[in-house]
Amino acid sequence: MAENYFKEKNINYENLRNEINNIFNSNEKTNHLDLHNNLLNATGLKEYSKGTLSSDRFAAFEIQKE
Amino acid sequence: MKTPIFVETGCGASTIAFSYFAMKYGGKSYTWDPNQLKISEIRRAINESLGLNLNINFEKYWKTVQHVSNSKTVGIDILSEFGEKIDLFMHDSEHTHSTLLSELELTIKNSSNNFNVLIDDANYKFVNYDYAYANTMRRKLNLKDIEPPIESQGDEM
Repeated sequence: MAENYFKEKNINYENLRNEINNIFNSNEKTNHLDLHNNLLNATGLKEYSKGTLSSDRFAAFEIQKE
Repeated sequence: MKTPIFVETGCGASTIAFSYFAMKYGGKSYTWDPNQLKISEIRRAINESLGLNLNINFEKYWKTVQHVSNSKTVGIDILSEFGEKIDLFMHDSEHTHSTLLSELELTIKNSSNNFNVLIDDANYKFVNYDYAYANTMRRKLNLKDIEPPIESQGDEM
């Protein structure tokens, strides 16, 4: 949705999806959300319940206005 | 070099990181959240975990606005009155298309020419109403989850 917005507004942007994936892939340690998934299951609906810290929970963009 | 200005909508654990890096790089981190209790809890965490150990007053680096981010009078737009330009923006408030879009508009209006945007819970699809948060509140009351109507959802954020 945000990407469509940038395109409609003719805003130069770079999707940093690869950088996010690289950060997640470089961390092999189990994080606290993995360990306490049930305790921290605060996201509501099952299909939205990302108790684990998955990369698709995040989006990042670099914007250049000019 | 310009001192960095961070803006985060929605106060939480990430606020601690934003405050720390604002201090580290001599900038400021602004947080918008209408929930005063949450801001107070995070302030306590910042002061007790970082402030006391580093002997630093984080009020200099962390600025809170106890209101919604897209307020006409005390929203992100007030940065123009402070003469601040956003270098890093993170959306972590109400996870709906309408709120994110309003925040993006205000951010682009008040940003440096080059800046970064982060979106939390980017997998959500809610257009105007955050059913996930509502269901969290319902669960605390032992009420059943409400299934969001298909028309209430669009693309991922």
